Amino acid sequence: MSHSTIPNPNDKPSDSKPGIVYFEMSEFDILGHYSRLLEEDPSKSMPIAAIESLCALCDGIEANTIHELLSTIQLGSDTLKESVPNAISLTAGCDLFTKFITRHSHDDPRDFDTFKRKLQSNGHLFAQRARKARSIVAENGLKMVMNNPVIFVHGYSRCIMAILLNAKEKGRKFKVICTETRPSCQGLRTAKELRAAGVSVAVIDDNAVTYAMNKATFVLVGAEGTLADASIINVMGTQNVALAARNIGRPFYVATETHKFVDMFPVDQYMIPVKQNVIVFNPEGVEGAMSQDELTFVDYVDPKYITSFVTETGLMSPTMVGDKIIATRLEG
Amino acid sequence: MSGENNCDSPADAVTEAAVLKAFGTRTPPAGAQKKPPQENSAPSASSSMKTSSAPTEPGKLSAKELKEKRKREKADRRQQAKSNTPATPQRPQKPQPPKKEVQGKGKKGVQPTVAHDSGIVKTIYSQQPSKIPAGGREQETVLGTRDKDLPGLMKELEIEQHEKKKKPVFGINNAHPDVHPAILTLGVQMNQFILVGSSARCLGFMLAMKRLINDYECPAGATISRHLPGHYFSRQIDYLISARPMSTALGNSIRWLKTEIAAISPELSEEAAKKLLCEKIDVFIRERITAASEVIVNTTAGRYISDGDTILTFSKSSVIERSLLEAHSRGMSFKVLVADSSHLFEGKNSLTTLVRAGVDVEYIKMVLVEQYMGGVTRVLLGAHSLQANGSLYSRAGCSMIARSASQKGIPVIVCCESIKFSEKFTSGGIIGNEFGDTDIIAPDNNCDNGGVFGGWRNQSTTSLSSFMFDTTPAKYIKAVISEHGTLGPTNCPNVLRANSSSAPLK
Repeated sequence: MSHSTIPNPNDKPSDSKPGIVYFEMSEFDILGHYSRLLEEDPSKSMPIAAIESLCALCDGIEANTIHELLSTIQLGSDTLKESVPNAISLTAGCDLFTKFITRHSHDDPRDFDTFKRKLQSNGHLFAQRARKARSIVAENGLKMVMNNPVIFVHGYSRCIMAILLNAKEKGRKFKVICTETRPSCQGLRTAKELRAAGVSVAVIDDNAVTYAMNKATFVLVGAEGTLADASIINVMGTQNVALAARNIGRPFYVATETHKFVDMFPVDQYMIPVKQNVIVFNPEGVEGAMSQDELTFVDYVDPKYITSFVTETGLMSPTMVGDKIIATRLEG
Repeated sequence: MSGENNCDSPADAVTEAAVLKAFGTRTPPAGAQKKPPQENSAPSASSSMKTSSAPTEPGKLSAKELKEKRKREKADRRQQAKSNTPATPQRPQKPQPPKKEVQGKGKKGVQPTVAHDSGIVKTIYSQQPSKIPAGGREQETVLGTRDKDLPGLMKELEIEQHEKKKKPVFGINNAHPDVHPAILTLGVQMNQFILVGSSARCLGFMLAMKRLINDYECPAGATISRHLPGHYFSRQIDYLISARPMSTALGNSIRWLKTEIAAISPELSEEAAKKLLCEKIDVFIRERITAASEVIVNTTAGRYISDGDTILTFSKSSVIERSLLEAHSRGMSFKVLVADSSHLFEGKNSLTTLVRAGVDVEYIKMVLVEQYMGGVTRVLLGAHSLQANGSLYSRAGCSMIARSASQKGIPVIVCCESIKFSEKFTSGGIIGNEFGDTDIIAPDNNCDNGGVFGGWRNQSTTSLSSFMFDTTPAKYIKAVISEHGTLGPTNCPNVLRANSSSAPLK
């Protein structure tokens, strides 16, 4: 697919901007569409926005052959991946959509028009299902909120919010310890939204993770992406929390939808495909830590620290997650 | 084992000629490390054997002379084979064994001796039996005498390795007359550690099987799909097992070949069936061995080696060696530490190749690994087989290195073709292991001169064992790079399942 000739990325106009798919006749601002989707609905996660953008791309173009359609999708997802600094969770969505379309491309090649319409409706159905996944995660996660637990939360995750708000709605009693998660202050956002729903939340400093861990029953974090060795990528500091939880003997749960599973296999935190300058020796004109204005730094958590994953297919052990990602790869 | 002549690289040896050529460079220089113990072990071994059941050999020559003579003969033979392929006396005789096999059906008892006394086997390997004791056989006599001293588990291993098998003693003279010359050669090469490495052995076997199938004549009234995988086939395998215990890759490819033969339609003519089989073998070699290692090399060099890395490897693995060379040729700057055990000194092969290519290499003994581990960023290990529970079964020493690395949080990466994936697993490293040469631990010259191990053979309470392999638990392995991409160690059954269901070879 990537070697397709019809919309060739090399044919880009000389004044090409990032995030725009160029065709012979027209162009499509996929990055613009993607960021608009995220802005319009803050509860929308990145893989779903990516899938919906690709759907819109399919709707917007005039494809006459299956080959053309597939290469357009490929080009669209490549463009999107290149144009954002941290493309891990986005990659998950794009890959899933591409795989989905490719699998269905063998279905019925006789009448291309009906086929294309079918694919598009399938694509929308797919995005819809992916959206629904979070509410199932929230249902599955409910079982963990038993016996008045104190839940330790780091960062802001839509999955975790869904679980906790659902639990509150169902009348479960629990308390939350939440880190500030500087400098993005994602933790403050979590605390604000939970307090608005009537949950008692203690906000702690990022340095107080180990101090507070003893008071927690278990740790619950979200994930930006789950990788093929069942490690997770999440906001910087998650590994601190994981290590503290392991040392103090608290279970470490990850709440995530399966559409965030990415087929990548880094062997350590320096191999994740995000270019972030965390460790810089004697930088010019910077006194403190490197600034995270452009990009929120992400952290890698080794699967050995993870107790289990809460997904829409139920509770999964890290081995099961790895198996699932590899099985998907071997199928395709 | 010795020098750079390790026929480990499948790409080098895709054709039979290439294999032979590779062996051609075997004899001369770089084997200096291994040779002394061997030369020294040969005399004592052969003398000890002569008393018991020595095969016919010209007993007047000293062992050293014998060896020289054999070397000369071998060289001559090679020369001949190279210069005039069809006209040599050996070549026209090639179709002989199948004929023998057809006759042999009736009078099995008489045929063997005749065949060995006069046939091609005799001319090619007349000297081989005298050498055999240095390897497997001497081992057996030694172990046999001190049976009562062996610890329990090792006794089991001993039984497993020698008594279960139909033919416990390896030797050309002990081989069934049905065994094809190509397989005979292969057996000797394996037994003498000329052909080492799991994939190299697998490749050698496949090439030998191609020759066997070409020469094969189906007896009247039988079909190739019924007759070939039967006794005839298992005799070849028995002989190979007597040469060296079966490796996983070899077992997998034998199983594959048997199914392929059995699946041949009986309507197909014999010629067509043979042609089909040979083509299938070619595809197998290409897909499962050559292309697979190519993919692994690309993945490893492209993704898992980066600028500024310090990479620790152990012993020798052709895939890892090639990955490092590939990464070097892509202009990456990294440092390599080659750890080596004194077992077969296989690491020296890697060292030679890497130094020649201009890679920054350091050579260390395995016992020092712990000290160097601090500066290492990746550990790359080759594999003999990857078991169903994700544990790695590889050259003795891997386990120690993997453990020490993962204790320090250094990722251990295994490079392994999926042909080496096993659907079995063993607990512990003893069962299914292979006895190496004890001369490596206690060289005979050392013993004879009253060294540390002086007279250990006469001590009833002493027994030596040198295992060839060990088992690394899955928890010490971070990733396995196979032709299906990078996997976790426990994903190996997934690959096996996918392979068997989709049957990509058809």
